[in-house]
Amino acid sequence: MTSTTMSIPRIFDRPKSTSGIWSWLGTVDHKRIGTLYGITAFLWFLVGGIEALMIRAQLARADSDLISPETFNQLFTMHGTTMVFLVVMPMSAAFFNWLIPLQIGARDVAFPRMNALSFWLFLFGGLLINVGWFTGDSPNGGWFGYAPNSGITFNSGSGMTFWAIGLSILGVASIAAGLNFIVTIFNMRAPGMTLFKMPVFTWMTLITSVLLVLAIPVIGVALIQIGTDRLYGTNFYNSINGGDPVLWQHMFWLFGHPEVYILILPAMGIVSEVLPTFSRKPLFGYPFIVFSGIGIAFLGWFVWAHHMFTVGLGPAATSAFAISTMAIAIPTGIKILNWMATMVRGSIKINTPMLFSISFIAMFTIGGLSGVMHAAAPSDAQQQDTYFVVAHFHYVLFGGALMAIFSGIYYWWPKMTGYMLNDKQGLVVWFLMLLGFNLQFAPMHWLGLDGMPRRIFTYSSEQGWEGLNALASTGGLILAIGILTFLFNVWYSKRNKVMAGNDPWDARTLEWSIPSPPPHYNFEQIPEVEYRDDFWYQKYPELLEHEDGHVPAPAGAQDDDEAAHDEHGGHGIHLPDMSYYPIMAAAGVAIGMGGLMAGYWVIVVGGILGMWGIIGWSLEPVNDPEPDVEH
Amino acid sequence: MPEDNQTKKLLTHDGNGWWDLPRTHQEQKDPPREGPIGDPWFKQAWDFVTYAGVSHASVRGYLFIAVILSIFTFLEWRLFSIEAFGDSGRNAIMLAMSAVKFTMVVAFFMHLRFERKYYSFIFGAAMALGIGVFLALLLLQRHHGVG
Amino acid sequence: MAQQAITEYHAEAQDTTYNTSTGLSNRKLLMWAFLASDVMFFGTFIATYLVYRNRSLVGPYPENVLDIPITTISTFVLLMSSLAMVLALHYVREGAKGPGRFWIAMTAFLGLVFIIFQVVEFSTFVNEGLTPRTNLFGTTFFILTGFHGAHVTIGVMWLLMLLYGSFKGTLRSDNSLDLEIAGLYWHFVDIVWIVIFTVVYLVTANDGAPPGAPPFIHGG
Ligand code: HEM
Ligand SMILES: [Cu+2]
Repeated sequence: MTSTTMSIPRIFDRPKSTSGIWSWLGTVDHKRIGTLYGITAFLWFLVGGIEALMIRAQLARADSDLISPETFNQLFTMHGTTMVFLVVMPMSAAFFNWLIPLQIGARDVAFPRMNALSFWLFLFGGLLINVGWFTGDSPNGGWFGYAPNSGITFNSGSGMTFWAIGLSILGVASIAAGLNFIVTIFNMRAPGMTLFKMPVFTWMTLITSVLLVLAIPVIGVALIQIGTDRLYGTNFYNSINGGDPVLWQHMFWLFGHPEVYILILPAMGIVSEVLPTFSRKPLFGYPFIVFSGIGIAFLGWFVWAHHMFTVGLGPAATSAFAISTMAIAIPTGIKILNWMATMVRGSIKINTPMLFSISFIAMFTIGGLSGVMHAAAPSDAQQQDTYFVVAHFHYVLFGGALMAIFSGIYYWWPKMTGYMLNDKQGLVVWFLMLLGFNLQFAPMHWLGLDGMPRRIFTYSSEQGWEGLNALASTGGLILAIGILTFLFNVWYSKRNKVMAGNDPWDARTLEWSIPSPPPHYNFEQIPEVEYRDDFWYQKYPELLEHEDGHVPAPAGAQDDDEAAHDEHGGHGIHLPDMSYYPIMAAAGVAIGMGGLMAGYWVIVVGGILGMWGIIGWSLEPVNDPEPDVEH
Repeated sequence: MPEDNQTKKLLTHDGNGWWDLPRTHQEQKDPPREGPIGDPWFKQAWDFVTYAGVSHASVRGYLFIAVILSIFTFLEWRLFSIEAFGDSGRNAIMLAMSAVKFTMVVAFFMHLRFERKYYSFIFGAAMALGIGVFLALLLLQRHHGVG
Repeated sequence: MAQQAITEYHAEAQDTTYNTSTGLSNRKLLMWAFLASDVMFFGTFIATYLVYRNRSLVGPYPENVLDIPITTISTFVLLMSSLAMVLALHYVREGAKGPGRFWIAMTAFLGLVFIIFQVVEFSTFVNEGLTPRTNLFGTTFFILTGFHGAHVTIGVMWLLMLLYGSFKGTLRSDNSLDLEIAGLYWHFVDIVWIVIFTVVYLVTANDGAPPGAPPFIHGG
């Protein structure tokens, strides 16, 4: 059909190989991109974990001088930045990528090459933030980068500049991914899957994507501002020329609170899939869970100043934000009650994913409760900047988000790889992590209420904080052992494979109707959806209390002989061809932005590479015309 | 044409475009263009503004919008040096004119007026959120000046 | 097969229903969602400008440099480029190659004129002593309008690529969606400017030295 094609010179041919390094560099397959996200995020998780262990080692004893104050600042800054932006967010992205097309019955996301671009930008952005470990000055202004402390006047190294540059690249990656999933979920659902027949994980992904698309620009602008302040001497946060530190706080938390829901909503989606499967009951109150997710996302925009209660915004503003913050606990509570009601009277099956999900509920509830405690502004005046807040957000982020992510890993691992993770070892992992986690973070509640400030590199033995700190550090060690056990679990299960089959858990959603691991094209035939949890009712039509007596066609007709077909085989399935332009464009952006620190010629090199990538991309058809196929 | 009915209809949906407006030329895809004498230009312009269900409009319709935009821009410039309304009055008028121009471009040049409501919802929601959040921010920052 | 949305490459532009769950085009939905994101982007910059209004510690202040008549002209130019854009789309859709190309080129040209206005404006301000480093007004003004100018520049490049495509035969009436999406971006940049023109120029152009700050003396 396209008689004339434009192209610009290629260095390499369009990648075609299905194995080896090029098959990864040029991939546009959502499953491979999901794997890349997952592995990268897990590696960062190990890095962030080591940073945390060093922090805990320093704090284990009073008056310790294991680590210098400056290094300590770098450690807690990088720990927070890494865990939020390089671990929890991309872990969620890994699940989005793997699961969304499978759950909605599609062959890929709406924009496969843009999806690849998101990943490569994320990878390079993360590397830029971590450049500091090699130049000697890592970012040291906290994950919230409070100005003017993060400005050039008080912080002259290159660390915070790399932080701003790297984070803005991550921001672009997140926006691109968010846009992609919004379009995918709106537009690529299987026939019959209306919005309210979508799995809850898909719903939470949609809501998260909307938040990403709307919230990331705010931090993007703030990073541009602090970046130009640092690089070119503008005055946004330069207090000598009138720059206002409070404005930075507004900007950061205006993004920051939606961001915490970006971190937790996918986790809520995961447990909403795991709990019904192992309770063998439909999710209780599906519409309530969905609508409270939407409510959280909306209200989450109007609570940001609860991070600024001690700034002195005035009684009216403070009360308003205290009230809105308490209000947000309502939809959160609704969700918790619905998850518990899902388990009530279910025939519960206890295994690793289920235990992680149940721990999610328990730990997240504790974190939510301490959240409501500092929603009360007067009491927050005591808690602000103490370890009590550290306890709060670790209960919601580790006890919440990460527990759910581990639950998701154990739950979907068989789908992604084809074999099970050993459940006995999984129980050990779960036990060690839950124990270590609580030992590490529960004492911080008491430390915080006793007045121990956060972000201090040491404390005097006269304070009487040594015992609880030692306990916390021990907990950290146990947690680390738990993670190592997890690695062993993966290694062991890979060595002694127990194949999973299509549907090892007798689960409910569409991804379990196809082989594990799914073929390149996911669905040989795009499924037609009639009910929420359609796959479940295909397996158990007798469970339908449907008046008209309509019985859906039995499942299983389609999983016989996939191996016989490749993606261009006789089904007319068209998948987008591979492309190396995404990685090229991403590298160009990263080099160009990094060049702001290195010199103009680097910017030029990056700019040329990036332009080449983008122009080549836009001229490259999604599919190269196939010589022997008539259109 | 019953005038009051029209204004009432302006505020309701027809489930298709933005507003429930009279559908002239319901059968024809492209409204006839009869030229300046047979069919006055403002009638065509009115048709363009009110005709729901068509994804593109006549050149005249676009010119009509462009003329309005230009007139408003000109008025803004004149208004800038008029002090009769006081500072806040002047600002209010200018913001209102700006809002009209904004809506014109979004509704007609960006076709939102003729599109499915999804797009209007997406853009409208972002605008509402942005305005809400940033007005709150400005309110919070009011007392933080040097003055 | 219901789901061939991955490659809606040759989709009919005029046909408003696509083979997707919502019937909307993937790429158009993407563009609108992106514009929603850009609303927050410019919203943040504009809010910053307003937060820092009347908070510069030294001059030049807006009243010393902003030139309303000239900016009215450049605003008019950008508005007219939006008109050129819709005309371009109109003719490309009708399959009128010549007028289509002419109006695409005209859109890009007017965009370019706007950028030239901005470059001249920036250099005038610098000559009058206002740089992004001078004071809060300079900082917020230059970065806000600069990012807007960057958007215009990207739009011009995009249009030029489409113009090239119209000669090469990749932009035709049956895939005028390519142009329509570029048009959405272009009009969005225009409406951002409508807001900037009002907020940054008309409303604040009379701002002088805030209380406590020294007045600005030219050449002083
Ligand atoms: C019931 C819901 C919640 C409420 C009422 C709540 C309330 C609060 C409040 C008032 C603070 C400020 C404390 C202070 O600095 O003095 C805070 C801090 C924080 N919250 Fe929450 N929160 C809730 C849920 C969450 C969730 C779900 C997450 C993340 C997944 C989260 C993450 C954080 C983080 C990271 C901080 C600390 C930020 C920092 O200062 O570095 N919160 N929370
Ligand atoms: Cu918060």
